[in-house]
Amino acid sequence: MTAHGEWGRYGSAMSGLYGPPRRKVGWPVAFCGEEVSMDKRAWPALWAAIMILGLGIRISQGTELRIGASVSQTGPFATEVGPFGALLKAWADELNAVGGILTGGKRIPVRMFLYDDRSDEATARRMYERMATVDQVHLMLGPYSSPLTFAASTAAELHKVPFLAICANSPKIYERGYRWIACVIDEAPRYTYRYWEMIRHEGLARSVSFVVEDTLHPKGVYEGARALAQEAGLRVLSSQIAPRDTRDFTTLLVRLKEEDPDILFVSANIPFAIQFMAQARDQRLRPREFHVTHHGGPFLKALGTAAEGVTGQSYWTRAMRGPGADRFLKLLEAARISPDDYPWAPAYMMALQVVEAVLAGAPPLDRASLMEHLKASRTETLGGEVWFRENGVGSINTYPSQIQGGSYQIVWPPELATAPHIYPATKDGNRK
Amino acid sequence: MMGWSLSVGLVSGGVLLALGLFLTGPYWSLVLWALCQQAVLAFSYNFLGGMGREFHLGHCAFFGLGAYVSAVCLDAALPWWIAMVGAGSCGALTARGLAAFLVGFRGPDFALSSLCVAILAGILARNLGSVTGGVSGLSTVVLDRGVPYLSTLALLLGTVWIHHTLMASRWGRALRAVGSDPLAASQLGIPGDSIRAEALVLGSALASLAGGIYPMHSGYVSPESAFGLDVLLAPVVAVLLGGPGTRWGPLWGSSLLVLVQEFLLTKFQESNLLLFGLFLVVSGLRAHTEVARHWAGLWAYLRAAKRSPCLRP
Amino acid sequence: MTLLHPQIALQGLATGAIYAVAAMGMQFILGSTGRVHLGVGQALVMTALFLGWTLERTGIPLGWVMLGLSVSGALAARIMHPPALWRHVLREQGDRAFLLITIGAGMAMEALAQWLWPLPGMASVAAGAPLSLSAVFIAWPKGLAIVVSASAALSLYALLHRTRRGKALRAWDMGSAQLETVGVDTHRLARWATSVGLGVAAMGGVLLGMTQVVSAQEWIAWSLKSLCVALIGGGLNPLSALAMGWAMGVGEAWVSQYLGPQWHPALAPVLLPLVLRLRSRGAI
Repeated sequence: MTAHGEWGRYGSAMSGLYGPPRRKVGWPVAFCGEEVSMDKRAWPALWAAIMILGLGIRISQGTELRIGASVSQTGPFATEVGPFGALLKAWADELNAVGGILTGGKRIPVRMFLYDDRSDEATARRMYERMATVDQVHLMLGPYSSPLTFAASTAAELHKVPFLAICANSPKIYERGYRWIACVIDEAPRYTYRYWEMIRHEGLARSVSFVVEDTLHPKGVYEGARALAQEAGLRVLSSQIAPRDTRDFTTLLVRLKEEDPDILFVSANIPFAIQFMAQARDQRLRPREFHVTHHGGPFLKALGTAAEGVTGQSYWTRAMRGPGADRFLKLLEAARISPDDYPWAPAYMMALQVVEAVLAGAPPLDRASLMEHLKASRTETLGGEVWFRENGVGSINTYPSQIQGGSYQIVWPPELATAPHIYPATKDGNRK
Repeated sequence: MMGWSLSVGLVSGGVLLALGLFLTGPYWSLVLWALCQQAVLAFSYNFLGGMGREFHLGHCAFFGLGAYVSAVCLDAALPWWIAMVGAGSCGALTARGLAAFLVGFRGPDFALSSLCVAILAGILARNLGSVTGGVSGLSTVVLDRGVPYLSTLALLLGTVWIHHTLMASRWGRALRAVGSDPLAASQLGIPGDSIRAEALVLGSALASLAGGIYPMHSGYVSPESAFGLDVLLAPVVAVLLGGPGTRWGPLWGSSLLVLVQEFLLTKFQESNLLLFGLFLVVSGLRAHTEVARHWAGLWAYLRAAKRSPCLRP
Repeated sequence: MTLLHPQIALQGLATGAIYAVAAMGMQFILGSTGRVHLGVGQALVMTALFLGWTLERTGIPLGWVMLGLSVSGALAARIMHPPALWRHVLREQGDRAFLLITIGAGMAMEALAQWLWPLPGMASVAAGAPLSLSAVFIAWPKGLAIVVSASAALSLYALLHRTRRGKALRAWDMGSAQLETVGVDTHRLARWATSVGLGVAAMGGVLLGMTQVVSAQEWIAWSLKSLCVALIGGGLNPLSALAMGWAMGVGEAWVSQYLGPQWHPALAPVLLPLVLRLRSRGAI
């Protein structure tokens, strides 16, 4: 008997045609082409293992606040929020070092349940089901991005667990009538309203062209921005949508050079934005202003001086300060996260500040009370006041910021601006 | 032997049902549901990808097609069973149309051509926004979890029955012959292209049915969830792990795939990708040697070999 | 707009140059061992990320970095592909196990790359003044990519036609099952071909890092793209890989120009099966 069965190495075609399959002993299992026997007792053992695991480990709740969250540590979203598990852990550790989170004058320990959702909807859904049923969390913090939040919030709604979404502003999420979801940030169409307010106030720009990455969030932002631009009195010259993995933007750039808009609005995530801007620079595209919605640290690092003068949207910058700014920077240091490299970190901090504020009001530690208190709360945070609409949509929105001298400056509204808006970025709109 | 295996399969199915609905919590029922879905995809892949010895990378295209058809039907307030019938029919018809073109290829040519089908399907899903919702995808009503779970289990049992019956039939032997040695098979008068086309249509129809159930549970379908790389590679890896062209290999492989991934995700959050990659590497290396036969049952093999002289190398 | 705007064509050529180099690396392995090596994309991405890191942290000139990274890629490939992988090169199980190994290794390397380079990056060498000819601009790294791709193709062609090992590889590609009987050690040959192939892919990674933004998760997409171009180009033929890579880059730019950028990814999956079908019928 050879390794390939009784017919030898090359006889499998013949055996398959002329004879019945080999007689097997026990329950047939195979690996890589070889049918071999497996002890029958192994199968019940396997099912028993599933049953044991399936019963789940019921952990006694005790007096601790159990918070569940998933972070995209792998997959496409890892570049946006990969290390944020460390941020959440640093927050929990900081609180537990002084006895826990403050609620009604006493402190209770915080226990974080963190999982990797692999930037995948089905995995996110499973992890949040686990948090709700196996881990028995009191509260959930949402994953990054609208698609994952869409899936994860279904689990929260099913098991009636308060779900505080963070970076998920697609209106679709909040149109379902869910009662157990609240989000820190405002909806995507309003993402850039402050920027267009500023443009209208200044009255300098007359035309705008859009370049949009064909993914959920940038498209949602673009749809709102287009309407807001028209309301601000600008003429929309064109809107060009390109897939996320576009490598060559020359076709778009040739058209844009012909159009010569005052504002070139790029609604995209960072990799797309860097790629586009690098090619725009190389091909000497010179609008009066580049507005790139996500122009965070990697954008500045990759483009260097070519990023100078580019405006974008920020939840927070160092120059802004705000309540809890020092603590935020300390937590980031503990988690080894640079705030410039990860522009979503402030949104996560705001969510944590909301959690602290809600608990400080000493609600009973049950899910229904927590949700009630959460929905009714108004909290001053790093990026402004957080409150929630009936459908769960939050109040936090981004501020227009401009890269000036290699740092990010908030340029509107005047009461929060850390530097004036420079328009056009250079005399002749030259990007170099 | 076949009757006994089938009986065991049905009993196992009943056990799975009990586990899923009554003994395990919602989380584990979800894991078991995911396992059943993967198993259906793996068994359906095993026709052409296992027995037919073709590296078929377009399998996910039919899963995705079924998911979108089902989502459109559910959105139009049609009953769920009509959505499933629609998904399966569309998958079968599409596969029938493509089979005429694809079966002319062999080896890497077939792999690439089938991959192109999957890539094109994803591009169409992203760009035909008026039908598919574009990158936003389609959201539907979430049905009571009994419906998708029982449907998946019924589909799995049906797929196993079809798989085992065909495998032991003349058609199955002919397919294995065509896969092993096409030249010898053709000289024996076996119509290779026609049998491979039938395997493609059958496998694709089953995959489409599995895809049709997906939005009933998730309430959502998008180009990433329907045609992403995870969906593309999962049945391939599952069958490779369990043993291509074998009777229970797809079930074994998909169980291993889902449970190992779940274990790593819950216990090793920060290094799950690294460990899973190493797991695949070690599995592949073990498959490569002549001594190590299979992953979880090595000791059983040696014991069986001691008892049965015909199994000794 | 003209049939194909010169700016669009030139940029397409630069993108195609990277496709071509990656495809040459894939062809070297596929054409000889008959195995699809999904690690080609990983070699590209890791090298691209490493390039940015190297240029940022050290003062080593770009030329030496390019050479060093290509050679390192080849050496790393040699170390990571022990002879045992090729021992059963003619066995079907070897092909399937090889696939599992490359997918698994790719995932493990992705985790490692993500840990080392968590953010998307572009080598800062790209921040330089573009070259211009009339109204057409091109960043000099892209011009370099076009030149390097042509040089690589010619060098590999010479390697395949002028050296003993190259000739043995070509004989293997033509389906010579008697190679071992005439004393050629196919295990060592496969190992050598893999090292060279991944070294070439590493060079492609340098070009990629200089011209485009790269993230650790993109490896499988690059593997599949290079596989497409390699197969369109035919067997072990670097010149055809070069031509097809350039054609793919220009073709995608042309599709972008006329159908819109959202359709340009459809070119390869539409073209490839047609080319394969025509070739199988002897039309190409």
